[in-house]
Amino acid sequence: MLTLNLIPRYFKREIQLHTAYTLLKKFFILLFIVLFLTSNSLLLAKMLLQQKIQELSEQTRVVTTSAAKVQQKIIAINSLFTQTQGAINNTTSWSTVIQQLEQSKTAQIEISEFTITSTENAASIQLSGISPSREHFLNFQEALKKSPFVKNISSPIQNILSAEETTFSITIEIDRTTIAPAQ
Amino acid sequence: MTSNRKRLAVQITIICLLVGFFAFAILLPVIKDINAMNGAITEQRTELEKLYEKGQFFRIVRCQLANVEKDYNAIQSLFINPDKQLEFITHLESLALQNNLSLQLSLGALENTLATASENSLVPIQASLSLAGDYTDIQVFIKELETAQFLISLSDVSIRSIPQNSTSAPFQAQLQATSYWTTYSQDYETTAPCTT
Repeated sequence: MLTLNLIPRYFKREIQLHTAYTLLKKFFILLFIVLFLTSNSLLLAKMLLQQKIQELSEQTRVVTTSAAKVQQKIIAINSLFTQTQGAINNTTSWSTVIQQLEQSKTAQIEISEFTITSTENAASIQLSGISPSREHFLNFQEALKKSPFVKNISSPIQNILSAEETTFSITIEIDRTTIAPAQ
Repeated sequence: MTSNRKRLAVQITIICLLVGFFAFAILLPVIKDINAMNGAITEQRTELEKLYEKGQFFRIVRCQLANVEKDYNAIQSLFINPDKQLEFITHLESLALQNNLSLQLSLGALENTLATASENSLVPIQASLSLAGDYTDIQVFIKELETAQFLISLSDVSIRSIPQNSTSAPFQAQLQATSYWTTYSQDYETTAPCTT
């Protein structure tokens, strides 16, 4: 069979070139479509990721804020408790001391004045009154010495010079550690 | 044919430009952003892992705090609220009245001290109480004062009898005390109770 190729060489080249161009065009169109779809997907992914990052940041912020709030509360409560403890430790139940003083004396002994003076570490009581006799006074002094809060008693000699009714004045040094806080 | 080639060339050039535009103007920046976000996410994840560990501890702390907070108001009520000065004064007056005593109260530099006091602190204010009445009543007053609603620390107590021929009360007492005023917040917001 005889095949005739009557197309001119120039025209043939043009047809080949046209085919190549068309292929290339199709390839680029395909590439464009792929890129378009990819870029759209990536943009969508980017938006989603941004949203997630925002959520994460918000959660972190909430947790941090909440922790800071609780921390502040703990600091305030600790401070209140420490200061309260300090204030309570600073109190002394003087009413128990007064009560024990009352119990130490007999009805015949009359206390006209007493003064409790205290500092942070030390305390003392200045006591003055009238005793019907030296014996009553000495008994009272002995009873006082037995009190748990009494550390030392200073009694001037004048208190025992007279055997009859006498005024007395004594200073009692107090051991503050033996007295409970007031509250 | 030449015009056909030109047309094709133009078309390919336009498509190339479009592809280039998509690649450089959209794709590359988006990829860069995603890379950056990936780093941020990793950072956040590490942060959250740390926070999770802290959170476990924090949960226990919150539970314990909620338990402790129950006592907060009770402790606060031991101290005098500067906004309720009258409550403190009337409390002392009623205490004296109950024990048939006359009372004269004087407080140290209350206003100045409170004005300069820092927030969230207890402010000790010196108070001086002069009492007149019966010895037993004074004794009861002191006892009640020591166990009263407000925390008061007595430092000096002086009781002396007045001569019998006098018309005034048989005993006079002079008490030096420290009253505690609070600058802690009164509208304390309690933590939600622990459920687990």
